[in-house]
Amino acid sequence: MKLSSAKLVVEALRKNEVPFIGVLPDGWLFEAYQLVCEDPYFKVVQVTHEGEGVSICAGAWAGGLRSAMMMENSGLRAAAEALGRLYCYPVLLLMSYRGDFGDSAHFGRPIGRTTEPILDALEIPYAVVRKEEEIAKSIQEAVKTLDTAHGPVALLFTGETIR
Amino acid sequence: MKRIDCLKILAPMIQNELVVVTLGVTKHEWEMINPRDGNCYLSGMGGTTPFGFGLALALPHRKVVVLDSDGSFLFGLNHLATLAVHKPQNLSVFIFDNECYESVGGSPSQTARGVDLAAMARGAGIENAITVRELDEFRDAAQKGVKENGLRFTVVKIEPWIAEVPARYYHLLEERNRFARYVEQTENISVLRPSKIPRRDPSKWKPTK
Repeated sequence: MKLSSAKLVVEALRKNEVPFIGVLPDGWLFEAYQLVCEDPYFKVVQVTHEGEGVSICAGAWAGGLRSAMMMENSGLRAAAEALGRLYCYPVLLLMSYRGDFGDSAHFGRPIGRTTEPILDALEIPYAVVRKEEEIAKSIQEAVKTLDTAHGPVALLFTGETIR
Repeated sequence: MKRIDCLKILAPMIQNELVVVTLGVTKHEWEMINPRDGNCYLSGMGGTTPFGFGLALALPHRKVVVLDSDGSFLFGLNHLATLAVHKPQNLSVFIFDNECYESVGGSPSQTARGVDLAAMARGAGIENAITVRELDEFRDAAQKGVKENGLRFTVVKIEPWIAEVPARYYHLLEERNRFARYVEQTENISVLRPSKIPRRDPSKWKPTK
């Protein structure tokens, strides 16, 4: 992720009061991960599996903290069982969108091809964020949806936010 | 040792602790013995202890007690690493280990074949990880687990046995709301974050056709 984009993501998470962050390290979101670790506003937990991360975030929400899970979109498949079971527990999924248009990695498309169908199957509202100027508003609206839909919500970062 | 007898010992020790309970028979037996709004019932394998861990991190001043099972815990065994790294001091995990998938017919789990969950927890770095096999041992572990600070991980070896429990309707959303309101009331915080209702002035309404 561009450092400028990562700063916008972290600033928006703080502004919209999302203090609890689960992370499974991801190459595209690496800069955002570093920034939340450096910022004492955030409680950051590195997890070992995205499904575990979703369950941890759900528990943090029940304790009064809005929570987000930073991960690669491949982790959506790993997290699907937890997301399906905990369908009424809000967690903001902040994912890189591997396999979207313009991804130069050969392994990207096999990851990306199932991302949106899985979000649709799990009835998770989501938006694709391709431009830096969309970041602040996307996170603000995602948090509003989190609070009203009372379930998981996803943002997929790609395009000019990454390269 | 039966799970129901352990739960009967544990119940009077619980006051304002938050109790996160795994799916299956454990949930039904605990609800029969100790129905209270501070119980959080989950469905799904592998998520119970991670959920309790997240809750404990969010409310570090509040004791969280997790009632999990061998089958469910094995499903998300990787969580031991995260749990051991953070060691929330307000979390006490009980794994009721009947060495089988009792709720779905009784097929043996891997703990019936020598897998030692307490040893694995110690290997991950959780010092207070023990196995108890007798009710007196459980009573001691429960007292420490509920009343003392420090991460505790207690494997409770039980025989397969399902108590007769009354029929009760469970819906995750209802359970979530009941528990969330208990947390809101006892912590004086907002969990459910209700939407603000916009106020409108009827005198400014224009007639419509």
